[in-house]
Amino acid sequence: MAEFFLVILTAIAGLLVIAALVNRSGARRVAAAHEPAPSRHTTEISNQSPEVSDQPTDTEFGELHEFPRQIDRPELPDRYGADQMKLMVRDPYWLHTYWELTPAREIRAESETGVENYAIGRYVIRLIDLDSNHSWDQEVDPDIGNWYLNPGRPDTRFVCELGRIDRHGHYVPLLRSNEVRTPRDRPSDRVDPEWACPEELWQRLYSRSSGGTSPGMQLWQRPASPGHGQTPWDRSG
Amino acid sequence: MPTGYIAFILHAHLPWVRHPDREGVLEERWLFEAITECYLPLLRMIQGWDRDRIPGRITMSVTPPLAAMLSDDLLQSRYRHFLGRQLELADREADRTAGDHRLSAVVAMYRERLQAAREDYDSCGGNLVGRLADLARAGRIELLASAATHGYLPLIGLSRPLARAQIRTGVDQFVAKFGVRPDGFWLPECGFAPGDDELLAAEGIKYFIMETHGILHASTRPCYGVYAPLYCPSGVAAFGRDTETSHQVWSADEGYPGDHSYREFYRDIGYELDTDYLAPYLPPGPIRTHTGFKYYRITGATDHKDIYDPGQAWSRATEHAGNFVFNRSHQLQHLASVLDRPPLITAPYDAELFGHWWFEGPEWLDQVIRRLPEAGIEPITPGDYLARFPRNQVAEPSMSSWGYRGFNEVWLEGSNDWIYRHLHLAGDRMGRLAAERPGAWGLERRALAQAARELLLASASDWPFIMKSGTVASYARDRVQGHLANFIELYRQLTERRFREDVIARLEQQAPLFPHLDYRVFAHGATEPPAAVASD
Repeated sequence: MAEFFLVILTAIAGLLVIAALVNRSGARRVAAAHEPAPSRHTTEISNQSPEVSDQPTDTEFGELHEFPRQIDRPELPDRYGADQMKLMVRDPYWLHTYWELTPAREIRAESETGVENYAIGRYVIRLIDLDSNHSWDQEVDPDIGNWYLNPGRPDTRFVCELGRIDRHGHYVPLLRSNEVRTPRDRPSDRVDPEWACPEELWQRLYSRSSGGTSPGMQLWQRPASPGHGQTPWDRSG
Repeated sequence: MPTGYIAFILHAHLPWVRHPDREGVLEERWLFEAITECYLPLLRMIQGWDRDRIPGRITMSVTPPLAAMLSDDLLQSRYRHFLGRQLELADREADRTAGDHRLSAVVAMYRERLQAAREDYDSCGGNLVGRLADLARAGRIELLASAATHGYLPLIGLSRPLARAQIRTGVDQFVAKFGVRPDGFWLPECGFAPGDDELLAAEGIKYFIMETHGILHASTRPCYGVYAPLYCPSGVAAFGRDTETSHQVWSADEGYPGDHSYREFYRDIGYELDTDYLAPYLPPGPIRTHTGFKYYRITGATDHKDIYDPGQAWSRATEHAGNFVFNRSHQLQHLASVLDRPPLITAPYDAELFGHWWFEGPEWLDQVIRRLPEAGIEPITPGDYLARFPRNQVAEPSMSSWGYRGFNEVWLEGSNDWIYRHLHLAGDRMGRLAAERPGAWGLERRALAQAARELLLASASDWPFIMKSGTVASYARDRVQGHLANFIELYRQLTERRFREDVIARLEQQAPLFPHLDYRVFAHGATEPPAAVASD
């Protein structure tokens, strides 16, 4: 199913700070930088286009102060020497995974699969839709360590694996993540009989509650707050 | 019976930005400005209801780091110093603008406000937390607990020990500061993931506030929309934010704060006057920043700005309050006509919106509260509502937040996603250590407590938010990296059982947040399944 994958963005961190756009409304300046939302390594599994996010940016503060440290600022480790894989939900459509694969785990897989079979295999992230048992593979460099996935399936349970496909096409799972469920992007179809309300009333309530917008992303595309992004104070844009 | 209810919820939070070894640190000014512009005026407003016998009642959350900073001796003394400097600047500005009656009127307003701030601050001995507790006892406010350091639970919650410690410590700190157990809980950023309610239930929490679609997209359709709470399967009630109400206040285009009569936030003398003149009032170093002295009104969508007219702005705030109450009255009448119980509007805001971003905000809110009774609207707290309407629909709310686009992307994107691998692992490691060593004492106990402290500080939602917003991003990165590096060092000492008292003591002195922190809050839910796939 690899043809479902389209690598849409491999922006390096340095290129992220590309564009800054100041959007003036009234005289309140709402700073907004446009950059593709999922940076680093992203995989689009559906044909949905990546969203562009409005982000505030402001560099009014000149020199910055560092929180004093006692330890001589050691860099955080790239690796912790433990196998792990985690899957996180970004929104109804996007997931993010990160992992660490240890040499020990590879040696074990190699001995089980046979060195010759294993050694020339391809590494893949296998995203598994647990509700439909459908899965997709995305080829990755295991050293990259993280990836954005875009199955575009709200209200669905997922798990992902890092594995290797050996020379015979056999899939050898190496790491398995936690399970997640993507949130709904619309109201549930289920009605509690004890708390039912007529369809017409529900539609009116929903429309009113959600600011008169139809189900979908508009619901939470509220305008940014005044002064967005100046300090950590402004959080609910 | 009123037509309906409105629950105003003000969420007050700042990250822990105490820098004991340096004077005038930029980030500490966040706290000082918020005290002068937001917290003191809001407290004064609430006290005014008492004086005038207005039946005002609102809900407030004050997060543990903010409460700790407000109670901190060093920061209290630095705030007094800051306020003294501000008053000195007001005097110098009064001299400088003496020839211009319109400007000097604005300066006089700031001077009066700063003097009032000093009176208010001194009258409670700098103890704002105590004053909040008094107002809660007097029935004016209902206080909400919140997470220990404002951790964003839907993402850090992959480490259950960390999520649990955030909630448990938040509740413990609430009890330590306010002397009672909390009924309600403010979820940082309104961030909710199904299952988090179980952690709240375990602490005896009865309700929390969430974003609109968390309710609307619940597992079964909410028959009252967001105009009544849902009970989660755990029994904790979830109140959903009303979109219309938030839009009228938050919207940059259509919201009240963008009105042309209101004060322009971005024109500040800190950017306009000579740096030699300003130097005593700005942070050390070649920094220009806000002083709080802003003399212009928004005027329009151009760079031309007229001088601020306080009288005009105040009457505009009163008009906007009338408009808001009128709209709520219509909204509630309509809802009451189609629902079989009085509707509830839940209106949560950042407390710092009022007075800081929206200078006239406290005045507006005061006027709104004072006008509610004549419109047949009763101000209520979520706790009071549940006491009156204990029977509510049960459904599982949906994952949501009040951040941009309503989910997790503000705190999970290219600038900040790297933090989670460290936070989750540290959370699970801390969980195991705490579970294995419940009876630690001496240096080991201190190392465990400090490790817990560093981890909580690293997991504040403020840091990924700032990394994304691009403002003081390097400060946020340094904070996360620094606290995590400290955690790793302490973890090493703990696993090797080779303690360095000098290091532990310095870290304690550097970040003395929650002096009585119980590291064992990490102990429950500490078992994690291995990530490697069992192949046998």
